[in-house]
Amino acid sequence: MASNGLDEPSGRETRLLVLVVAVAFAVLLLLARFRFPGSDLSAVSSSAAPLSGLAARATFDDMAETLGNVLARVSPMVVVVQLEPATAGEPAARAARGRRAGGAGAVTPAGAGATPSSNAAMRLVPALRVRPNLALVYLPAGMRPVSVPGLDLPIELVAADAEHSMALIRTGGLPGADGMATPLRTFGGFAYVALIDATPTGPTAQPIFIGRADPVIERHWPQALTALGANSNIPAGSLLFSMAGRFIGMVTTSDLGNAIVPVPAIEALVTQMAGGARGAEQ
Amino acid sequence: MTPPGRDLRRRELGGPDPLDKRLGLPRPPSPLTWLLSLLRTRSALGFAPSLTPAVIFLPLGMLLGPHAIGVLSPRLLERLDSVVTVALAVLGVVVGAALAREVRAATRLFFAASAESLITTGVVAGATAYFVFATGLPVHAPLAAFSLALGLCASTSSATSADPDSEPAAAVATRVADFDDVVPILVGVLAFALLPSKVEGSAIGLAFAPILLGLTTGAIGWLLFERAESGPERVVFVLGTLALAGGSAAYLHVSPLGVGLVAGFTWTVAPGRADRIVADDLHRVQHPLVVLLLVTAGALAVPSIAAVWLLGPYLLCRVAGKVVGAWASARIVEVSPADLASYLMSPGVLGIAFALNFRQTLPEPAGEMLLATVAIGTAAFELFALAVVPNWRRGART
Repeated sequence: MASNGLDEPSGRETRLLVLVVAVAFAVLLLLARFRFPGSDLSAVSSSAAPLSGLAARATFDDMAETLGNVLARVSPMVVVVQLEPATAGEPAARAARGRRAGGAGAVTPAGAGATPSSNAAMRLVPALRVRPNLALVYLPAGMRPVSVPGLDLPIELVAADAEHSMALIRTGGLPGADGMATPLRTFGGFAYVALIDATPTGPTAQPIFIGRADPVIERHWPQALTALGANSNIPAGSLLFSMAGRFIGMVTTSDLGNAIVPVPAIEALVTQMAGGARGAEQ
Repeated sequence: MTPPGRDLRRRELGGPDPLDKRLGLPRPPSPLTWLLSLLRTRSALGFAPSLTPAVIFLPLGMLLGPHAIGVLSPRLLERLDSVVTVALAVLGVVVGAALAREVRAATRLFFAASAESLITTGVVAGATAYFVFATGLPVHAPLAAFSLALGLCASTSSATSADPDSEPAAAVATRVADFDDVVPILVGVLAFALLPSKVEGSAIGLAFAPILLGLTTGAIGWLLFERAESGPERVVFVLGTLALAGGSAAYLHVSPLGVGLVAGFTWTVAPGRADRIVADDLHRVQHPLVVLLLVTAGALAVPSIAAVWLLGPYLLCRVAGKVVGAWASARIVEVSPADLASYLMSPGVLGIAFALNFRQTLPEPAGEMLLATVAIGTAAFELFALAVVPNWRRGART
């Protein structure tokens, strides 16, 4: 009959086990007495990180991650524009007096002529790229676009629509993506959206919940706007994107408080302004 | 009657006979003579009388790698990463199929193998954690994750040195070595879920993802394989399904070994011939993939002071872990602990596979250190199994 080896004395097996374990343990203790050259115990991470996966992730963390992704997607579609108060005789001021102004020409960057008081009134707004070299920006009355922060380039004001407080500017050679490529044409409300605002170093995003979003007719606009409510604290000029990075609309002021200018209204306005600018050039 | 495939002459080769003892052994032996004598001795003791692939291809990979003659450039190795992932999934399929085929008939073996691998993992992981903490060795990764990864790499055994037909202990050891990869793969799946992930998802979701992926891949293969209209079409289905298993695991940053394990298990327990079809087709690619894994591991291994520093405790504690594990599990399968430990000393390819797998997930310095330690350790253990273990077992018989 074949032997499995169990008929051998077990004392030798046990001695072998004890010997191997003892030698290994002793050598381990001996080796552990030496310090690794240049070691720094603070560089050794604690064991908490592997267990971090077990911890339930807070909803806020998910929201922050989502907004980070949204900002990464929409940043190429947005240009930050600096506005400053327009003085009499300047293009935007002239445009503000009329309904439209086309081919307003280059506006010099802010700087040399700016006074401390005008610096205080300066404002950054996000502009949405609507054509390969055109961007739509919210331009309240009495303001003019002067520059793109970080780029000392004069802004060319292509067209301004004072009635709707909008302006088209030429983005020149700035690389980017078309914000109107995959817009969200209908927005039903009751959803978290990404509000894109401007900072001196680029666009930023923050979450905001839009509740009821009913269409309202505003006398200055041929298409219906989406009412945000009279007490909405969303600043005019902000851009709204879905969490998937699709453009929803631009916030503007209206007789009923702040409202969203939806995609169809923006498309019509841009077409009208760009056409007007071409007509003025001819 | 001699069973087919069993060569009794191998047990009669080598070793001094009475005439040899009277005449004395030739001396001094040249290195070649020593090697041939060693191989004959191994043969007489029931070990496969050949060098294992790890002894040949790991050094070959190191030689061809970017740190030596540079035939395998870093760019090429980067591109081989996806192939390595598919190869890991293939190894998982092999383990999963073996598990499904034999677990019902060999439950005791499975428990013994699981106990042995868990003990080895625990011993090596604990010793590594203590050593790193005591010496301040910078591992650039969570200490628990790094220690567990090294423990899992140490737990695998191949028993390639055992001829299953040579004696009952060798047969048992071979099957223990087949089974002892299962629990480390499952622990590895959990370890992947607990490591800081590069993809979104909860730890529970990432822990179950390999199971779902494996089941899905298994279902796809099961539906496709038997419907192939020709041999080449079937091969395309099999290789495509394996690529899907590896690719989906890589995409989600989960363990491809786990995905392959579940897929292989599914194909074997599912009705039909899916498992035999996969086995037939895998037979063609299995060995090239093993060679690829070993050469890639050798080329990727970056010898460093830290890796050498860690090598001593790794070798010592793996020996201790295997001996303790064999001592604990030998009672379950009724073999001699010394015999079982000696057969299980060879780590085989799965240890390298684990190291390559963790290298993809751990931070780069930690992954490189782990791979270098395991690669050098594997080659050392194969040589240890080649040269020392036969004497060890021979000593047990005298």
